[in-house]
Amino acid sequence: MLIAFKRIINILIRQNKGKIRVANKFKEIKEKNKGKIFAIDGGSSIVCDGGSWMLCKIRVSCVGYNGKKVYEKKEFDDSVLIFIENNQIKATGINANTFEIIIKNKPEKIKFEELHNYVRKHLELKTALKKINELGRDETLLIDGLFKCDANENKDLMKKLLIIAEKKRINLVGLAKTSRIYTKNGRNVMSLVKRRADELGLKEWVYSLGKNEFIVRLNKISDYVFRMNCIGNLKEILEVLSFYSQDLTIPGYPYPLIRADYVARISKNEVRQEKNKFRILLKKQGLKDFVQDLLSQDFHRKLDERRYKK
Amino acid sequence: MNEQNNEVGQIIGGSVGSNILLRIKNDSDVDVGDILICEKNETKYYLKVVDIEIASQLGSQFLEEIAGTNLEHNEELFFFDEKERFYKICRAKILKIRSDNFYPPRNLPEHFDKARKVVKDDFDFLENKKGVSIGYLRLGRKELREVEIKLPSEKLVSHHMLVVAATGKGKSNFTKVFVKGLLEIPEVACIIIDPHGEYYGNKGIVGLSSFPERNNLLFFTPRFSDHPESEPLKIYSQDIEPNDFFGIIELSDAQREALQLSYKVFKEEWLSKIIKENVQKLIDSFEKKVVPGTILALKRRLANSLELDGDEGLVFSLKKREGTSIFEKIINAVMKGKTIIIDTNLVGDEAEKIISSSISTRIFNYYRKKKQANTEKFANIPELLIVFEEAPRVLGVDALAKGTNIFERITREGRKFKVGLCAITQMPSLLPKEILSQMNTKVILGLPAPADREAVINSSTQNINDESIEIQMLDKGEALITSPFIEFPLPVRIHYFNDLIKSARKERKTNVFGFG
Repeated sequence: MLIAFKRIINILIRQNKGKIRVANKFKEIKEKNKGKIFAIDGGSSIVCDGGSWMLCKIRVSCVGYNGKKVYEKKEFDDSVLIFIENNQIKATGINANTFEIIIKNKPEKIKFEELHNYVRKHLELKTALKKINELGRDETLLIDGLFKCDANENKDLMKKLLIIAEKKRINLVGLAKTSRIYTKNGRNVMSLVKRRADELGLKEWVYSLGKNEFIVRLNKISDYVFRMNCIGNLKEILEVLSFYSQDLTIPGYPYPLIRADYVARISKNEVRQEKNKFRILLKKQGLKDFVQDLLSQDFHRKLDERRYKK
Repeated sequence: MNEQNNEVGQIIGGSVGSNILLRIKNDSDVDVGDILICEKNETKYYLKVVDIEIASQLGSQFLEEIAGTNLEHNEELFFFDEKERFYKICRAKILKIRSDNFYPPRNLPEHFDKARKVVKDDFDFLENKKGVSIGYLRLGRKELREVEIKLPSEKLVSHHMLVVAATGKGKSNFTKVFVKGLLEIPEVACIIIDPHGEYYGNKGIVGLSSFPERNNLLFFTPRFSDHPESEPLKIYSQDIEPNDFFGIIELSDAQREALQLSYKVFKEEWLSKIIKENVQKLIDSFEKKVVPGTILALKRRLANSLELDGDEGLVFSLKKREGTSIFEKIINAVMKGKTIIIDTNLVGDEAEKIISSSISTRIFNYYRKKKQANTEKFANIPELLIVFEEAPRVLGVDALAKGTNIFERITREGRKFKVGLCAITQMPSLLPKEILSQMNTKVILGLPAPADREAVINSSTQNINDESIEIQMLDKGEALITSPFIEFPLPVRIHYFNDLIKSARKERKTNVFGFG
């Protein structure tokens, strides 16, 4: 086993051989500013997977801070049915008239179990659009993830968001929790940049990757760096983000996003309750076919319950 | 105070069998021992905080990491939403539920019901109670001065009291405060055996004699020349009976029989004869039923215990009494509802026990006979409380191994004859369970020793199992009182005796100048 690991480590060493020169495109964040900020994040979980349809629980939260004071909290909270009709993927809220979207990508080009993420993102962007219309100049709107979207209709919403932000001179920031960015030879760019910043003795900094695209380290004691998209006043954005990244629980990551994530997160318990409610409803209505749909897709759980001890 | 502003927590769980869990509002200053009210539809739940713990929405492993970060890099970091994420949870027991009446906790408040601090109106049931004022309602470290706690003395006196506390926690202060209250109640008499000379008052020591009610006091002391109003503490051998020694000093069977034989032969001269008479003459008088060794041992033993120097000791005397006996004087005073203080400060341990035993025996027998003679007249005589310190000396497991004594008998039978004991000790664990459970009212001041706490908790008439932490932490003058005569165990801040004196003096001055 150790020998096998050694082989893997050798590959990694070979890949990282040689020094890559990272251009000095750093800017230090020298001040902190407690400006008004709103963070939007969503949580989603599959409640029932019927193979060709899916019931999900989705929640989107919008949390505002003005210094240490919670400015506002808003939530979108609903169950969503995702289904295929006329070779189109559709999603609708369980409560009447909440929303209905048609995902333009062809069903065969999309992983079905990923669909709830598309819908969640869609709802996050809708919430962001609603919020950005309420914001004033120089206020900051922080969304989870970069500006890039997979689904076409989400791309449209994002475009609208960027246009409004630019027009209203609102600082719009997208921060990615996970991000892969590597060189042709497979070197981790985030890591290279961080190492270079450490060599230069920088504490809190931003590194430009291109237009509106950056890598940031928001607190000097944090080991983590994040990829960031933003439009607006960069200096102001960084000062605000840096102020909100001083929470002791996770220094280096903006607290409003932590809070938004906490509010939006769907617990296992919620999923279980929702699932039971839905199944009981199906049985009461005599919709045996749909129950059968669920059974045909839900063998994982059965296996988990009766698996060998490990 | 506005009740809404007074809200301090919300119910988040609990069960009837154990405790209620409440999340405490930040900065709400709730202490162990606080009483909270959860009110819903005319029903009030009286909750007592028994423990408080810190809690957070984060896992414990994570908290250690945060503490590390804080300690090592604390210059610029802080918490957002600190009050929401880091908080306190308290465990509270339901003392009683009150709708029209009080009833035991067989029910629970509901999730998210709000709890508030108590206000005066929550204790309106205490307002019209008669009795002795001993202090104010204590809420954790603080007190609610609007709620005065009174002990229904007439009811609880004959059901015995136990006052327990570690040194310096306020046993004597409580007893003085309580007895001061009794001075104002003619239906209750009191005898205090005072081994430290602290109850009456002396130069530099304030005592019960400092109050206007001093006319109701009778003070017996061997130093009667120092106290013009006092009576001499003198007990003559003719007034002593063999029973006064039984269970008090260690005697062999042969010695006990010899004492009884002497009493039979010499009547009231039995004690002076046995101490002063020639051994051979005694053997002859006892018709050789007693061996010389027993007589010699008794002579030594009795003279030592009574602290005699020739015919006369500080308290005991072998001389013939002239005038009324001390026992008669005490009985007369008791019948008038007075408080009698017996100053045993200068006598040794055994002599003190014999003094207290003989007095208690006479008075108990007097009460018994009174009841047997005329039940109606008996109903009108005062209740009597006998107060003695260091209770394990006469009621402890070791003391009772010497044989049963009058104090043990009073704990068992006193209630029927209106005679109660107030036993004061710092080590209740030395008292047998049977004695402890007879002490129906318990005044618990701070008790740090676990064994002592356990002894008191296990023998209480009300369930105070959850109050162990509170009892451990009670500060000077803070008490927890359990009694079948109060609705639930009451946390009390005992009056400071010296303050009572000061206010009595102030009142007296005001009256003198005619402003009263």
